[in-house]
Amino acid sequence: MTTFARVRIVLAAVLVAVSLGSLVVAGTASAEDAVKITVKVTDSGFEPSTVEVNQGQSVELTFLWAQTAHPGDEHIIVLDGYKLESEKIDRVHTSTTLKFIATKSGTFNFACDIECDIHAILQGGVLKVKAGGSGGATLTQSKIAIDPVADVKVKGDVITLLATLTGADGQPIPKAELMFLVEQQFAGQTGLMVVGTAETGPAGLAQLSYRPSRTDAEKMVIRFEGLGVYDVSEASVDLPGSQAFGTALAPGDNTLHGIKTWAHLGFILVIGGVWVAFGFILFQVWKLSRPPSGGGARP
Amino acid sequence: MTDIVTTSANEPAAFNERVMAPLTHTGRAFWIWTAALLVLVAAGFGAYAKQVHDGLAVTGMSDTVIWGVYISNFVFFSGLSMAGTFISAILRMTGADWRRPLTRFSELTTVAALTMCAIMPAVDMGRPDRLWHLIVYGRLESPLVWDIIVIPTYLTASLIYLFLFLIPDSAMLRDRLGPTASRPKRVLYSLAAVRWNGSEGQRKRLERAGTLMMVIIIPIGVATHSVVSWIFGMTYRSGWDSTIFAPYFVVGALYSGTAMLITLMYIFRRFYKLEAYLTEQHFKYLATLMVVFGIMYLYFTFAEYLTISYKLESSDNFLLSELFFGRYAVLVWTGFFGGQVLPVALAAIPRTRTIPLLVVASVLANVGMWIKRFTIVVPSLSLPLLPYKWGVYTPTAAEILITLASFAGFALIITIFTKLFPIISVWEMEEGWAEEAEAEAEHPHRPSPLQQQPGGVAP
Repeated sequence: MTTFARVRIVLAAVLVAVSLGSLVVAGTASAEDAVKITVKVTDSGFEPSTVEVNQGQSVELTFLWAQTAHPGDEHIIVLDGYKLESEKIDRVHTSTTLKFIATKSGTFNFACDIECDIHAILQGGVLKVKAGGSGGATLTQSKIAIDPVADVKVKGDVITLLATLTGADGQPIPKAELMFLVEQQFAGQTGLMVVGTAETGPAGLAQLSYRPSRTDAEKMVIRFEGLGVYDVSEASVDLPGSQAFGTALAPGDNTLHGIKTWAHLGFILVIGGVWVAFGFILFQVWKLSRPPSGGGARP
Repeated sequence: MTDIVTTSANEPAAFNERVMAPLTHTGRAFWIWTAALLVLVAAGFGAYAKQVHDGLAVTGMSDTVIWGVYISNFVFFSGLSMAGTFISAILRMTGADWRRPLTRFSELTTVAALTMCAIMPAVDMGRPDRLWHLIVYGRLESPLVWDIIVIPTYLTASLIYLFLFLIPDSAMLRDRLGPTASRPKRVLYSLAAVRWNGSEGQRKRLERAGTLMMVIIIPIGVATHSVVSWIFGMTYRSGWDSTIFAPYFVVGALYSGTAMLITLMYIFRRFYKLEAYLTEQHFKYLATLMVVFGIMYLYFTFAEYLTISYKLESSDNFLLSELFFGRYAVLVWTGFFGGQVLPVALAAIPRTRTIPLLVVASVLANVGMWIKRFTIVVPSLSLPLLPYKWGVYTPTAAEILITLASFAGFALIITIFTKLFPIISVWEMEEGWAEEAEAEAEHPHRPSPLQQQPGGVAP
C-alpha cells in the first residue's frame, strides 16, 4: 500500500468518525443545540407576543426587561403546560431564561404572575410547539432517593425529611424544587396534598421539616416536576404515625387549644347575665307604672 | 373667657325657665340647622341607595382593602359613646356634685353615637340582608359575631340608663307641658313618665334600678370597646396583631368621648344660653379628664409602636415605614401631633385652659382620633401578604356622603332630643340645691362643692 493510499484511508476514517460523531451529538440535548428566543417585556406587552418552536427542540426562552414608563414594575413569567416559572426581573435584574425541552405540542400561554402596572397586557404571551418537529432532544431521567426512615430525625414533634435528587448519570441536580406531598382524605376522596417544598443544594440534597398531624401511619410522596429538562420523578416513604414518636407529638394536657370552645361560652354566659339584669331593671320600671301606693313629693 | 354667673341663676325658677326654653320656643336658627342636617342625612340615604343598587363597587374598597371609612366611622362612633355613660356612671357612683349639669347630655351622646356605630357595619356589608346571615350562620368563635352581640347590648343598656334618669323629668314635662303640648308629645311624656309621682316607694325603686344600671354599664362599655378592638387584635395581620389593643381602644374611646363632651357642652352652653350652669369649671374638670386619658393614650401609642419597631418583623417593617415615612406619613403625623399631642398640651397648660382653646383642643382631638382609626384600619389591609403591590384605597363620593350623613344623624338625634327633653337633668339639679340647702342649714357658710375646687368659679 502506498503512502498516498494510507493517507486516504486515514482521511476516510476521520471523515467517518466525524460523521458518526455528528450523528451522536445530534441525538442528545445540549446547550449548543438549543433554540434561543428572546422576548422583550415592554410597556406595551411582550415583543414578540407569539413564539414558535418544534416539538423535541431544546428551548431557551429569555425574557428581557425593556420598560420605560413603569420603572417600578417587576415580573415573574410563568409558562403554562410546562409548569415553569422564571426568576423575577426588574430594572436591575433585567433578564431571566426558561430552559426546557419542548416535549409537548400545542399552544401554551406565558404570562406575568405578579401584580404590576401593566399586568393585564402581560397575560397574552403564546408559545406554539409544532407537532412532529425535527428536534431530537429528549428529557433526561432523574431519580429521587429518600433517606431511610430509620434516619428520620425526631425533634420534638417535627420530623426532618431528606431527599437527594440525581440525574441519569448519578450526578446531583442542584437548585431543583422538590414537592413533598402526603395522602389526605377530604370530602370522602383520597388525594395528595402538598405539605411543603424544598430546593436542592449543590449535592442535590433537599430537606423539609414536617409536623405530622395524624396518629396513624401516612404515606409521603416526594416529587420532582423536571424543570422542563428532566423527566418527572417520584419517590415515596411510609412515615410512622405520631404515636410512634412517643408523646412528643401529642398535645400535652396543659395547652390552650380549648380556648376557642370555652371563651365564647363564657362570653355568652356574661351577656346572658347582662340581659337578665336588663330584665330586672325594666321590671322595676314596670313596677313604677303600677298604680301609686301613696302620694309623695316630686323630686 | 370668664364666666358671668349670677347668684339668681342657681335659683330653681330661673333655671327651670332657662332649661325649658328650648322646649317651648323654637327659633329660626334651629330650623335652619335641622334642615341642613336633614339634607345631609337625605344625601347619605341617596348614596346608600346607590350603593345597595350598584353594590360595593361604588366604594373605594376592593378585594385587598376590604374595610375603609365605614369601619373607621364604626370604631370612631363606638369610641365617642364610651365617655358619656362612663363619666355619668362614675360621677354618679362617686357622688360628685359637679356632674349634675353634665349627666343628661353625656348619656344622650352615648345613645346617639352608638346608634350611628350600630348602623355602620350594616352599611359596610353592602347588602343589608346579609346582616341576617351573620345572625343565622355566624360562628360564635368569631369576634365579628361578638360585636353583633355586644353593640346592641351596649345600646340597650345606654337607652335604659338614659330612660331611667329621665323618668322624673318626663313626669315634670307631663304635668307642666301636658295641657299645652301636642298630642304626640303628651303621649310621649306620659309613657316616659311611667306614672311617676315622686313617692318614696317610687324613689327607692328607681334608685335600686339606677344603681344596678350604673354598676353594670361600666363593664359593658369596657367590654364593648374591648370587643371592637379584638376584631383587629385577634387577626394575624401586621398593625393589628397586638395584645394591648383592648385597653388601647378603651383609653382612646375615653379620650375622644371626653373631647366630644367638651365640644357638645360648648354648643349647648352657647346656643341654649346655659352659661350659668355649664361653667368654666365644668370645662376644666372635663379637660383634666381629657388630659389624663390623652396621656394614657400617648403612652399606649408609644408602647405599641416601640415593641413592634424594636422587633421589626419583615411585614411590620413594611407597614411602619409606610406609616411613618411613606404614603400614610402625613395622616399619621397629623393625627399624632394635631390629635394627641397638641390637644393634650392645650388642655394641660394652665394658660391655655380657656373655654375657646379647650373647644379647639376637643375638636382637634376628635379629628385626630378619626384619623387614628383610619390609619389603624386601612394601612394594615393595604399591606400585601403575598408579593403583590400595596392595596390602594381612596374613599369615593358615596362613602364621603354616607360618612357626612352619619355625623349629621348623630347631631340630629341630639338636636331632636333637646327639643323634647331638657338637656340638663332638672330633678338632679333640684336635688343638688336641696342637698346644698340642707347642708347650709346644718353648717352655715359652707362653700358649695364647686366653690371648694381650686380655681373654681362661684356659681
